[in-house]
Amino acid sequence: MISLCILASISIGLQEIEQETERAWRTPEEIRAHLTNQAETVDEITISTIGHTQLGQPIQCIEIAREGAVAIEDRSAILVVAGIDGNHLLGSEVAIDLIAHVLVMDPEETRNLLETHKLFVIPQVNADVAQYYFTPASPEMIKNNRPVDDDNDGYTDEDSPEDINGDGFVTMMRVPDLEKATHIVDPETPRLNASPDALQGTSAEFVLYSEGLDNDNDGKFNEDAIGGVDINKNFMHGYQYHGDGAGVWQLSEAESKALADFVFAHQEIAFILVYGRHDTLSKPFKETGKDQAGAPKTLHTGDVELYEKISESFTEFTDLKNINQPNWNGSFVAWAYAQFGVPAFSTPLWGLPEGDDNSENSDNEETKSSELTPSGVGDIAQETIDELTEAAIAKGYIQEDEMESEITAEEIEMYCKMMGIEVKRINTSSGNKEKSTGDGAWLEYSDNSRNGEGFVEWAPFDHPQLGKVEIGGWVPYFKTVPPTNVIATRAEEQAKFLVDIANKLPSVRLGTPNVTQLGKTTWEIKIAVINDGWFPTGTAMAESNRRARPFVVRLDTENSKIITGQKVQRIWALSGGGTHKWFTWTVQARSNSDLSVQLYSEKFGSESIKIKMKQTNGGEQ
Amino acid sequence: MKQLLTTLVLLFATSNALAQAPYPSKVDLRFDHWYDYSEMTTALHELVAAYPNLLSIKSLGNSVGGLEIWLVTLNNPKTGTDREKTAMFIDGNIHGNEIQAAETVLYSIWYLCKSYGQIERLTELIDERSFYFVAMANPDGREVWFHQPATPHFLRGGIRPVDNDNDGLLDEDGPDDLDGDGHITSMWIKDELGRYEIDEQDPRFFTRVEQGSAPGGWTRLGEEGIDNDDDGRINEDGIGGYDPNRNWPADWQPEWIQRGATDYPFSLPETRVIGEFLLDHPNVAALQSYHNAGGMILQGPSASYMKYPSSDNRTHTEIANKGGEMLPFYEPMIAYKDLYTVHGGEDGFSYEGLGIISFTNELWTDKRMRANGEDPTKEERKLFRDHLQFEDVYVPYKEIDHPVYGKVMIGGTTKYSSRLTPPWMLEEGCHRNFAFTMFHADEMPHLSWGALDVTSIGKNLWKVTIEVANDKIIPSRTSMAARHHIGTPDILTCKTNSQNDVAASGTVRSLLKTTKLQRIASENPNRIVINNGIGGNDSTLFQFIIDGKGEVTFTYNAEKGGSLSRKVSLKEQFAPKPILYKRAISPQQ
Repeated sequence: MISLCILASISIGLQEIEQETERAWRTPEEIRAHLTNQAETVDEITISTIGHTQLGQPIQCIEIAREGAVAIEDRSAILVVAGIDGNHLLGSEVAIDLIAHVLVMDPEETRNLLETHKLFVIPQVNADVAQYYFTPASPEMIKNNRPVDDDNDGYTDEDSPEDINGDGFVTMMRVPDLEKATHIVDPETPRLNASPDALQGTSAEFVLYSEGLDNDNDGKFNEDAIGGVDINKNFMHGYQYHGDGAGVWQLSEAESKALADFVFAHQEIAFILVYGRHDTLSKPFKETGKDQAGAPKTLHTGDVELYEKISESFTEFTDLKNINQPNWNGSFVAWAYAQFGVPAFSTPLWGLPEGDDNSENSDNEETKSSELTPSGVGDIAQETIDELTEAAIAKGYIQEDEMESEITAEEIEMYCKMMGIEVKRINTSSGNKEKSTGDGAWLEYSDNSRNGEGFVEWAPFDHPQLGKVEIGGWVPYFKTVPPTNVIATRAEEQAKFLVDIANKLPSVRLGTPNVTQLGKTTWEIKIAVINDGWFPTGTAMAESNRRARPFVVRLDTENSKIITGQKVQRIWALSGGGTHKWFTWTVQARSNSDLSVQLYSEKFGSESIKIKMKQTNGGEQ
Repeated sequence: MKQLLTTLVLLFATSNALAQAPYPSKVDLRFDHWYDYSEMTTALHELVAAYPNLLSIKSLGNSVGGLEIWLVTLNNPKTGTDREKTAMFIDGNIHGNEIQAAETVLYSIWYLCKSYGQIERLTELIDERSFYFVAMANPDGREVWFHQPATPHFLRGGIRPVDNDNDGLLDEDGPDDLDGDGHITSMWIKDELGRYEIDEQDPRFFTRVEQGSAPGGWTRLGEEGIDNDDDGRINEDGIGGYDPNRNWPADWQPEWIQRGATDYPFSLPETRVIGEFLLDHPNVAALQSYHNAGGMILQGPSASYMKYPSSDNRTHTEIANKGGEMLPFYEPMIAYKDLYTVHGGEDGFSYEGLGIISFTNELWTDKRMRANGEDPTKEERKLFRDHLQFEDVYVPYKEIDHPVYGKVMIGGTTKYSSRLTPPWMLEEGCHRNFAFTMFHADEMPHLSWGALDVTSIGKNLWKVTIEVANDKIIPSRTSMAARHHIGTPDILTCKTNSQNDVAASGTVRSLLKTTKLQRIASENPNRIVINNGIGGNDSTLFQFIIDGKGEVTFTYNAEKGGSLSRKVSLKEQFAPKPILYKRAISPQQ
């Protein structure tokens, strides 16, 4: 068997897959060492460094290709990116292991992926933040080490959480403080916290802080932790200027800049898949209207069907269905779709499905539930903002003449806090059903499938500054980093998914030209550009934004010899399935002389056809 | 002979202190002159060499074409470093064709240096503030305007190649100087059906025939050029093809929404180096950018959906209105409303991103031709060009053989004919804009201690009320900075010692004894964080309840406003707010 021979040349990575031993998550250094070794031992693998993280760790890109009919540098490419989210270790490991899978698969199966096209994998963009997983008793980190004065007190990063009870985890503290209290114990699920309801006879009993000391003695706990910029909020589409974790401006961070620069330098990238916290695959990704400048916030209406179809195919290869889809503002995948202009998708590769008892929901509610996402401060409904603004004015927090119609959501949160109103994000349209879709489901999963290791039971603790508190809560990384045995299945599935995508990529060619003699030296030339692939050559978004370069069709003769028709024409988007786009010219030329038609695409390559001025008899395919 | 001797003695006896205006500069620069990159570089360096006690120069980096982006710092080190002081940033010529902006910046440096020690008002300004100047923010574009055949509008952007017509080729078909006169003008062709005719009154021009009347016999073919790439279009993809003033991060939008924005903010070295400089210099509290043309003093917002806090709008408007009075025929305007929408512009970035009160001035308006507030009529314009500019803004029409069109006439107005201040009116334009900018600089926050009241409220218990005042229009923290937590908030600290301790602190509304403290609950009442800063022409009364005796030291630190320090003895005392009228008849304490 062919795969056995290749097996011999692919060393460590594949052995791990075959043996199914209890594997550990690899540190960034181990990952780099492994990849460097792969590049040295495997012919099809080339490695390069596309940049460095803030702390100087190299960001590696792997190119996987086999010799084929088309020169490697002329091929269009699929790009897989993982580890932009520093806590998303699963994505990085799956990105690496799928390479090995792809190389052992039957070469006939992988011909399109590896011989017609090529594969780029950037497995770990954000090694600095990934490193925290391997730091004992670290909180779960998403933001990088850029110093940011989170609490606007003139000091930076002066108060981070700590593991004060020595259980090896940074969790939460329930602090009885009737003045600052915001929560009660959830009466149904005592491990969870809930908002008090006066009409139910409950009032707030404790305030929640992350575990730690008040390092700077300002009365606030862990209010300005280490952690500055979320790389996946640092990209141009939906960028929240001055937003939490957005960075000082777009692409301010070395990691995001390196990734963007790589993509810009490789216009041949035709499809992008991201492993990270965003999801556009486990269920159809929706169109949600336009932003204030006129760009589609999520999808262009013309791409909804495309995304639905890819989502369907994705859920055939994996069993990932119906996972939460966080807002993608500022993310790499959003930018890749909306501005770089190619089909771009993201998946967390793992997660609990959203309310599977809600599968009966009408479309309306589904839309609502995907709009009300549990992240980001900008998701409060306008009516709510209006009501809260009025209340804040009534309380004197906002001066009437200072009020702007664009009060920020952060200000609303602040006023809510001041008024004693808790801002809680809900995942479903039907209210605070924590149980079925949020923490409740995670508790069930932790208890039933993971020996309860996801949650640290609340236990009393004598806090040196706060007195008697309770410490407990979710174990960091529990909800984002699964057991390593997930890796193998996912990697195999993703390899197959990518093979399928490669088979669907546009396949564009020039058809057989049709030449009709109109006069002694007057000819009509008809030729079609045909896309035999499945994907259109450009998404509706790319057509709108004019960024993904078009196909250029050029009739190679003197312009003065062209009687009718433009010498240079462009195709911004050509649908697949064998769609023909026809070009007709009337030219002046000598009988039996040659002209050529050139088809050029920065993304998909070039082709040229010689046409003899001689009557053809029909016959375009 | 005796008279001559007396005159000579008087001349030699004259000292600097009795020098008369206009004050000479150590560097003889003319302001009826256009300085190309090399001449401007020389002029800037000459000024720095002549005034080393005030000026320094460095390159922020290189343009796409490898030219230096010169930054000149004006600061009197005897009164502090440039970073310690509140600073103003002034640049010009980010659009390469808007050349007089650079001369305006050059004029500012030149005038300030020669006035130091001569004009008291400006001497004070220089001692108190620091200035950062970038005369040529787009040196590549400027050089194209100077040394390649150009127009009043070209080259606006930079020289990085862009495939403007999406045909897979870069910069393959720009304008061409077909008649070799050093200018890009227009091409006209005899066309029986053409809608233009040679003007009856003035045969130097073509005019459009009236609707419905017979054809005039001529058609305008477009800008001078040939179809270099033989694709059937002329001049569709010339040098560059982007706008550096759409490349800034705040409200940056991609090309299909904002033409010229390029792929991402700060993708251009010219904008990035300035952005990074501003980020690294949070002491900058005012920004002025010079462009042409139109006679405008522009403030944001630059997009209709951007809402600025009303107090900052008022600050901008108050300063701009003064400018309108100092600059005849210039109008203060709000960009998106009165001009057009701009996404990703420089002043949008400096204000929205960094909280700096910023303006863009469009230098020169045709209204200056007649100086009566009106746009010139056709006849007035003709008079100006023919008799005041001596027809020097036209080139005569030449007939050439165009490879595609055959015989065409090429000629018309040159790059000197519009947008550009006539050189003999340049110095006034420079001065008035410079003066407006100095007014703006002078209105940057200036913090000082106001009143002080120390009252005993018990045994070894004191109520200390200390006022921090800002006697300028610009607050020490704009509302934009406060709202978005830009930079560091103002901090007031009370340094105690073993003898005393702060029990509580906050603000009070007045000095009346009955006014209650608005306490700021804090574990560290010695340190008050003032996110809103001190308002424009305003003051804040801070109050500290202090246990103990002896002395405490108050320090107020503002990123834009500098540092103040004051020792206060814990004993009953009152000192009113000093009134700072300089040059008043009887200065008060």
